[in-house]
Amino acid sequence: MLLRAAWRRAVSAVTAAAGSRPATPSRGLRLRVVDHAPQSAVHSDAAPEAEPVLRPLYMDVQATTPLDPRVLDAMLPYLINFYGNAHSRTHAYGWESEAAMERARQQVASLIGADPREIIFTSGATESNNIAIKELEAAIQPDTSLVSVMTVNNEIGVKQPIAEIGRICSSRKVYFHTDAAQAVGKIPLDVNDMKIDLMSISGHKIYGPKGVGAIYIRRRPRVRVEALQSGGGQERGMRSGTVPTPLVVGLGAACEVAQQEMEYDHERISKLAERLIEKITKSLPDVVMNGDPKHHYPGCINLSFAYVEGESLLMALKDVALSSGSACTSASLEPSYVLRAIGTDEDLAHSSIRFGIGRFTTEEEVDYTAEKCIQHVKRLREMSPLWEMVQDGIDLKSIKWTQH
Amino acid sequence: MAATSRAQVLDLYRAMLRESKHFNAYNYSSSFPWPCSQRMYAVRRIRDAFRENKNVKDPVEIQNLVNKAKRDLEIIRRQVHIGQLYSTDKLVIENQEKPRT
Repeated sequence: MLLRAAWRRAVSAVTAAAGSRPATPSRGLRLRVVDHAPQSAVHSDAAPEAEPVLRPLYMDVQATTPLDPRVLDAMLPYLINFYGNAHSRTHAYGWESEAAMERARQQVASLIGADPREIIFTSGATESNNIAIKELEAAIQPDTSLVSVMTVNNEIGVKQPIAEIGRICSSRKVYFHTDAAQAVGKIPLDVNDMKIDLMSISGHKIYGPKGVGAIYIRRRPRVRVEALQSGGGQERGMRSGTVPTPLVVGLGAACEVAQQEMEYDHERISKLAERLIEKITKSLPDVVMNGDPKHHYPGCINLSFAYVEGESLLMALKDVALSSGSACTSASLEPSYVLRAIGTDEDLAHSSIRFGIGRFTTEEEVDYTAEKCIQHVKRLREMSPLWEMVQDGIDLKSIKWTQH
Repeated sequence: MAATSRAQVLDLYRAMLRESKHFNAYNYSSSFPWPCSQRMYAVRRIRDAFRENKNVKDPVEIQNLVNKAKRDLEIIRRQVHIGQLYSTDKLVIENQEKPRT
């Protein structure tokens, strides 16, 4: 009872604070810097004012995902006892590491309908993209070209018609690359059905470790790529450097788990997405969902709240880890190029928030997020002069703003 | 080895749920073994998986499923323990949650 009261006080103190930056004092309450070192039974004596800091909910799965415990479990032996270099040919440490690497390769291949010889491990989807695009420069014929398309967009969740694009490229003898980082393990993909020649895969988007990915390179008909990284000739000469066994084992385990869980996850995530959108749109007017609702991956919801500035809403929702637009471009203040490309008005583009729903998202987290979102949008709209004008029936588009 | 009996399957089911609920250990020192959502995922997933397969008749398939469940039980045991070693602060939502049965 007492503890609960103390928690409530701590939470209300936290929500009363102006921002979530640890060093900013506000109303005399200094937020303790979240200590990321493991806290055993002994509390760290660094912060005597041990007001417990509550961690925000995680609703930003497009930026990165937590490790599935099944993945961590698969990786740990290779971080503890099985530490051999997979390319050492002369002893058991090398052989067991190589066996693990090849098992992982098979797990990745199986998820996308490929042959294991067509999977090259890289440091992530970005490296894979670079290898694929560089292939364009390595091409000799003048009319060779490459089409590169994201399978599922990371900002608005739209699914591209990959199979149709593949068919067109195949008939015109043009190489087809797709960055499937947000799609692998979430929607069914088959490189042969969809006539994909090159595919980039990212580990940390599918509940696997960061720092690893793969590139799928078709063998029949052979797609030639030029290596970005030269050295000892590992990975068929296409990507030199010791393959990091613990990481690729994690990627393989993540792919295997994803293959098993795809249908179950998709159904749950779809229901949760519907729930979130329904709750928000039922209580708030003037909310726009960005992206084609028919060809859409449910776990990535991008909403624009008219007359509310996106960054201020994000700061207000500090109990929930969210983002507006993609993490890659979050440092700049420009509105998202994706939203601009789909024709979103600039003012709506500035007020977009991306909600990510993943394998571990609970109904309670969705409800909490929806409630906070509704609460803060209402509050911010109350403060907005534009909202006031709209309530008075003024058409904002008819206003001629004076120029300075 | 005798075919897995109904009683054994139920024992396994109970063992897995029990183990997963260790993620739910209410702990006054503000440390939770796992992110709340992963704990709830485990309990929910186990229930749904056993429910999904309850009408399987083929004894070979039953044995395969039971073996996989036993391996998963070991994974849960290990990962609960590791989670407890590396625990951190609760999520904002956890102090508001009513305890789940």
